Amino acid sequence: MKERINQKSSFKNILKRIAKMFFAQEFMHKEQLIAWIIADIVKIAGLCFVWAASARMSGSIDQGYVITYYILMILIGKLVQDITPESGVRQILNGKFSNSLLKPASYLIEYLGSNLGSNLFRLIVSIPAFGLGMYAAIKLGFWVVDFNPYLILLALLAIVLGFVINFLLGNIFALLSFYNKNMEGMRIFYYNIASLFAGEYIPFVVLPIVALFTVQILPWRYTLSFPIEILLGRMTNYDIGIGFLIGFLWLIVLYILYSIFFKISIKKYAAEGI
Amino acid sequence: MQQKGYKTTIWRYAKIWFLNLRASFTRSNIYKGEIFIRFLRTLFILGTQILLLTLVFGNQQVYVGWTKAEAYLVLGIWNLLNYSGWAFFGINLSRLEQNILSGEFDFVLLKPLSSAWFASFYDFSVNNLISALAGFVLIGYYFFVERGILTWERILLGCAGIIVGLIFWYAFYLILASFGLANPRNGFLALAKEILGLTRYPVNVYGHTLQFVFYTLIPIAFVSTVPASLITGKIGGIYLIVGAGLAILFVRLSYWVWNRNVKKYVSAGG
Repeated sequence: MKERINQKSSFKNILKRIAKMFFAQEFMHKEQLIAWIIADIVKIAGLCFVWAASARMSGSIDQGYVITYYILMILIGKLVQDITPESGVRQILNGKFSNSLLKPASYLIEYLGSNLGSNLFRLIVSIPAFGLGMYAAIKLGFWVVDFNPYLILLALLAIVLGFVINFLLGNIFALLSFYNKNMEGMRIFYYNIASLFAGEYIPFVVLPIVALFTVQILPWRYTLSFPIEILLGRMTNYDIGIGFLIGFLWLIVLYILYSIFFKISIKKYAAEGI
Repeated sequence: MQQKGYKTTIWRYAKIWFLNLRASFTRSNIYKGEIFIRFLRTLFILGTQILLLTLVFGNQQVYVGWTKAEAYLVLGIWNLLNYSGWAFFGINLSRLEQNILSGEFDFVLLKPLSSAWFASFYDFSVNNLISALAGFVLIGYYFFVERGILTWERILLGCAGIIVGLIFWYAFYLILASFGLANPRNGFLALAKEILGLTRYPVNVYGHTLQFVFYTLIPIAFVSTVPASLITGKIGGIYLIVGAGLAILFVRLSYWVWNRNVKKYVSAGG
């Protein structure tokens, strides 16, 4: 009994140590990570140009809204990112997942720690680009966020919610590799679906009502667009409340789905490693 | 004793490439499910791109000087070049870093072939070629809509422009991939991917300063905007001549950069 209590209290320490280890690991390959983040910024800047030109020409959406949306994405995208569809799948396929099963803590703690360490480093590296983008937007009169503490607090809550949803989605996806040994195409397809429904390619403000309703009831909106929408300050308290409600419902549903799927899938695991 | 000399003619390269192609097709038969997933993904990509362009245009007939059919053409050319580029050389160059770290790249240097060529074309990804279908669909749509005004001259100019675009794509990828030989895990290839990703839209989107950069310093305008402009008749054949000259220059530059980086390769992997 005593041992069990000690195990529980050590989970926090395990999480902290893994996060620290991944931070150090990411720092070791900092050149690669910086290039990845610049690449990410290039992609976001491209989308920003496309939608800003569309807003300028059609006048149906506010140019400032779209530009601020994508600048905020540079930072929030790093906070909600989940690397499990890559690292988790790889571990199952190469058989290293067996090591995680032998450890006293759940492998989810390990994955969570690796995500936290990795995201923290990515966040730090992205801050200069975000600052530069924000400064340019303010100078050009395109910045629409007024740093309301209440909205910032809600957005932080939405970020935590978004990260956990993304983490669960990533882990459910990773379980598919117990059944399918060639996950490359599925992984890219999953990222395509997640990016579209999270609001990366298309800001939801431009969607027609039916499409908007569809993305609002799917879980991916809460992994990226929702915290940004809150910070942009155009949502009513009712919409924010409904958003949190749907997000929390998805959290519960995904956790139950993950637990059931894991119990069924783990029986298929042969630890063969390919 | 001197090693028996190999005649590395273009036919020898073609023969090796076709042998590798055959092996790639055989390998692709192992995972048939993957082909199905790629087809589904292609449909999804197509749907996403059509939705994106529909929303970008809104009620407007013209966006940054391009009609909707012309914008589909740009996107179609980009799809074609991106996914066929991945099928022919992108897949190999993306594995280069892994080969360097595992020490397998040493064997590439031992072969009596150009190391840049072999590192770029030793495998062929059938799965990526499936996604190139999205490009044919969008280009086909433009040809269908504009069938009344299209001329053979413009089509031929456009096809030549697409080949020039593919050469640019290859040279750009090779330059940035080659830095992995001197300094692995640099992430340059991801950067190349996203910079080339900017060409899925006409360069007119990016404002005058960036447009100038994209026609001169980083000539990615020749990847999709110039071929599309040749087909639509927005520009004349002179752009094709300039583009072809720049593409040859870029390929020469990429092989020079590759050779410089090979000299810095220390074979420490394994």
